[in-house]
Amino acid sequence: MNTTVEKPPPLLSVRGVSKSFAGTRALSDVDFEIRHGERVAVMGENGAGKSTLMKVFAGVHRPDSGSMTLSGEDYAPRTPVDAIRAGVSTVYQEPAGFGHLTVLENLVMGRQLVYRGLGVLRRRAMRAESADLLDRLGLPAGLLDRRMGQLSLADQQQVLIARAVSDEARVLILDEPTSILTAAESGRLFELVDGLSAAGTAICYITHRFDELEHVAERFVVLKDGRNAGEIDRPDRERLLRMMGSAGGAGGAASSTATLPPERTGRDDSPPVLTVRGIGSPGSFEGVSFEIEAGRIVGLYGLVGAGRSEVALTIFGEMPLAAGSITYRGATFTPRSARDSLERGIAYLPEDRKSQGVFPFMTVGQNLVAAALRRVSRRGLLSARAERTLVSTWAGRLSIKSGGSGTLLPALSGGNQQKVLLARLIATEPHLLMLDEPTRGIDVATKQEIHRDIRALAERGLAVLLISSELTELLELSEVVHVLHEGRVTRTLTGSSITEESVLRAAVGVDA
Amino acid sequence: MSTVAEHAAPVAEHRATLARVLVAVRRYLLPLLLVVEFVVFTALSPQFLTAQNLLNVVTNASDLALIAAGLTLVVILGGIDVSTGFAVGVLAWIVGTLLGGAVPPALVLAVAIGGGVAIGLINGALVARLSIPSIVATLGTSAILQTVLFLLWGSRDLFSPPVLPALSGQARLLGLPVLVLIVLAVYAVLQFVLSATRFGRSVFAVGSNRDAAVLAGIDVTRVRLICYAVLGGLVGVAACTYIGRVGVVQASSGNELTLLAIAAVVVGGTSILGGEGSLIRTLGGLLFITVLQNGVVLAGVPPLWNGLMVGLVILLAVSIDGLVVLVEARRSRGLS
Amino acid sequence: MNRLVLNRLITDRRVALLVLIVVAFVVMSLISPYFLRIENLLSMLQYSAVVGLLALGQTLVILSGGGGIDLSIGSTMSLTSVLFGLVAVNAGLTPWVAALVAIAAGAVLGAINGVLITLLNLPPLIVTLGTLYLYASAALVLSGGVDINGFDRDGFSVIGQTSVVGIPFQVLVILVPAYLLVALLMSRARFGREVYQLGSSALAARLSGVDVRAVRLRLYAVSGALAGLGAVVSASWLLNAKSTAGTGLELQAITIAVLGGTAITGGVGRVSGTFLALVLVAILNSGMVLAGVGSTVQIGLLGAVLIVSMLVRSRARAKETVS
Repeated sequence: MNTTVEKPPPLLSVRGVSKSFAGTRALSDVDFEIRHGERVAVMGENGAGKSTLMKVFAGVHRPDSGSMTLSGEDYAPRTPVDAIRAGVSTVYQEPAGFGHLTVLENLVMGRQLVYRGLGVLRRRAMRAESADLLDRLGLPAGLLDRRMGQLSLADQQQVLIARAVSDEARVLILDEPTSILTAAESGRLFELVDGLSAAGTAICYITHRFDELEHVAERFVVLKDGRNAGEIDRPDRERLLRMMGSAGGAGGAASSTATLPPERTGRDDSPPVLTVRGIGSPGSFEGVSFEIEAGRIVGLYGLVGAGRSEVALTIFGEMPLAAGSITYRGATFTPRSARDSLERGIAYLPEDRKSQGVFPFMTVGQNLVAAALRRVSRRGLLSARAERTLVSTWAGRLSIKSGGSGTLLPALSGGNQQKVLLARLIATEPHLLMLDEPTRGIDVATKQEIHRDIRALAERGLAVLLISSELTELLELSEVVHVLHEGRVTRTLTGSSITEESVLRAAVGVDA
Repeated sequence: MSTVAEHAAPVAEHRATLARVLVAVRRYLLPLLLVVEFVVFTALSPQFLTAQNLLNVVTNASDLALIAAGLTLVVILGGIDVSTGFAVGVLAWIVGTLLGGAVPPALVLAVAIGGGVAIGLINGALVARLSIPSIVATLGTSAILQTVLFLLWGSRDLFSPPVLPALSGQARLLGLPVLVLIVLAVYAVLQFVLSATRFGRSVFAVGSNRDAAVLAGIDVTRVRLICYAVLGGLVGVAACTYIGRVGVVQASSGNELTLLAIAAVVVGGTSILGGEGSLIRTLGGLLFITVLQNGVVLAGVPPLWNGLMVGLVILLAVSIDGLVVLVEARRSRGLS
Repeated sequence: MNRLVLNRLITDRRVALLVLIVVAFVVMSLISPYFLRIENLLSMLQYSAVVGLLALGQTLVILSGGGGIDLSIGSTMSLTSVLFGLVAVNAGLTPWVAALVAIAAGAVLGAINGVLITLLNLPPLIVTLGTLYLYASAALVLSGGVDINGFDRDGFSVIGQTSVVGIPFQVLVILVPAYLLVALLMSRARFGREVYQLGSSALAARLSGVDVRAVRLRLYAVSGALAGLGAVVSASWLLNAKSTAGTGLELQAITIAVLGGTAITGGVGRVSGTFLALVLVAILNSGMVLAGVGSTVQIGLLGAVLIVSMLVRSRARAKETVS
């Protein structure tokens, strides 16, 4: 660090970029730089402008002012395709490939090798080229003929990264890539990406996951309210949180350093709200057993594909229960449907709020009461007053920031949308709450608030099943963690034995 | 290095095999049904399994076949077109009028194809440029074409000779009507384009994931316009064939073709949701439906029942397909 | 006025329709002196009663999303029309009973659509295309291709031939109450809210406890029942039960629903919007009839109207999205 090494000129250089949308300033005079082979993490709270900045790089938005250069030349993509052609590729949170087509076709789409004239495909040449590409990236060649839609999300993402490589990306932008992956899969991603950066590709990550920072980047750039808020070259969580200026800065300490869940007293002798014994669902999981007492938060961890969401969905009644027994509140319980479960006091917060939770054309208020319609209606007719009361009660308790309950839900930030969905469930007054990735893709401050709310709910006597792929979250909230590996619970950890290492080992099946 | 994909592989493999079996069932379902159909009708009527009859069936199905071929492209794209029937009517009227005015047949054919392409481009523009859902857009153009046909018809049925012997089933080559050979050639060419050219793959791409197609550098608007234009051109040829077959243009000529074409595509197994399909499947669906209509008549069923049978069959075929998909979905995990 | 409210008003389809209605009314009355004649206005309303019922059912089905559409309502109306005729004439029962049978049959026919769509997860476009064909053929087969009449007894013609305080019975007593009832259902009832949820996001609706299958099934049954009711009204009006009574009406129904602001993908749309669109189309129709424009030509014009209404919508949408 003390030797004066001449830093190579930046690959992508951005100066004074500003962007506004309909009167709101998303970016103000932002500078950014990244060099060949560098790995930079862009961080910040929700609304800080990270996504907008990346979209400017990717040609999705055109900046109102400022300039960009790529390898010293003017860089001003007018469309995303321009950006890709210039060598700036983006892999988004949701893998966007061609589900019906094979991996091979996905890799070559739009740039197929053809014989001149009619555009007839040169199949063998393309296959050889793609196989070579996969090999270089350490991916199995057998992927080529699999249908993209049948691959796991993690694999789809890998294919998209491979595609970016074949597009000769010089700058690779990854928008929250690990939010759909678990730690072990993230490890695989980092290996892949490290290889790319070693070969000279500049990598730009947007991430919220503090527990990954060491693996992810060499430099950490922080944005706040659309402006530069500093950068450091060490993953110092405290400093980062302070730069991000989150209200959760104080609570941030708790989130970044806490490894011990809060102690619980006097709850061990209360009967379990939920007991599952040897339950299984065909093709997803089997022989799963655990119990949750009132007031407890039980964590469920596993790799994508291990069957986590499926366990919850089966208990919720939306997936078939093929074996085992479930006891709920002291009586045998046969899950029938979401509707039935909600009526009995079992609630489930879905993993993907955009496609499984949000009603995009309905207001905040309508979204909030969506699962509790029976409670605000009499003899089939809705009571506007009861609706309003319900909405204001829960919006207040969870501090939901919206422009009034008449706003459409998608207008809210991701964090507030999630709060509305959480309120939707709590409004049904459940006894058992199953949360599937409750804080995925949410800014730190709101994350803290939601964690606080979950703890409060548990303290009020709710039994909580927490499914999460973020170890920090699990460690912080749960007293017991069941680890799923390929559809079976391989380890149950409690108290101080819950550590990152022990959980990961169990999840990968090392100590099985 | 062992990867997650490989860890999850054994479980996934099991599921994949089952899925593959079910997909195979679906693929062979239609050929099986065709065989059953042939067997049943042969048993019901001695005239069915004659070369004369079968050739007739195939020849008479030519206009429908041409439309269904173009429609397959549009459906793979994720769209639909319900204006094809009246488009045939309007173009047939134009053809008949031109022939009556002693315009050379080759020119008439060119005008028909040109007119069809024009209609196709209008549909395509509505969908691709103006982002109107294809069902709504083509419902609209269908209505307009219906009116145009009505006005052109002017209460006077238009009688017309065939455009070209080749297009009326009269001319023969190697014992088969040239028309049938032309149709088969069209299918072969389109299938080749779909499966072995860059353009063809981009049709699938757009149907599978439009946004990703844009990112892959595909000009989605152009692909859509071309597909609708191809359908339109084939509709133009179908109009010439139609006139050769029916010989007269009336107020609602061609209307019956619209649904039958869609039925052929759907019964053939191409998904209405887009992203997959093939000309061969459509050919199978087409054969199934036209043979059904023929067999039912030969078996002595009163003509009014014809529509009933076809409607039932369409529903049955689609239902069976749906059942298979349902069973297949049960086996895979996650929310359906 | 608050800018936000003004904005909302401008983009609300119903405001645009109201404006268009006024404009169309004025234009039509200028074009033809007969337009404002009472008989004309009345017959204009009468025509709209039948189509209006079908458009109402279509609105519901489209609102529920998931590609919801009912191409078979025209054929359903034809088939129930024939059934009505058979029961009232061949079986000799009072036409009132026949009317109930027709409506019930319509519900069953609609439920068939619903079952195929919900139980087997088949695309509504294909299913209703198939039933369109099936029901139309069944109507022809059952009637032998012959119109049925001779059921003008027991005061049955009161529906289609009489007026109450100057307004045709079928409008005042059937059409308007039907719209009011459904509008109330959609805005005030739990069922209506569930329909909107379903149209907004089927998956989220299911996870929030909506019985997706039951709701969709009911909507298709209602759509079919409304088609049956339309057949009854039409029979009383024309005193004729035709096997082609409903041919081509599905286009009009869809056009009116879409014109009224119902998004073809579901989740967005109001019954009141459909009603306004109905009024507008009735005015245009009436004007065209007076101008001597035949009914087939009106079909083409309707098609143009449909396309234009979609254009206006996509322009409005484009303005709403952030670039």
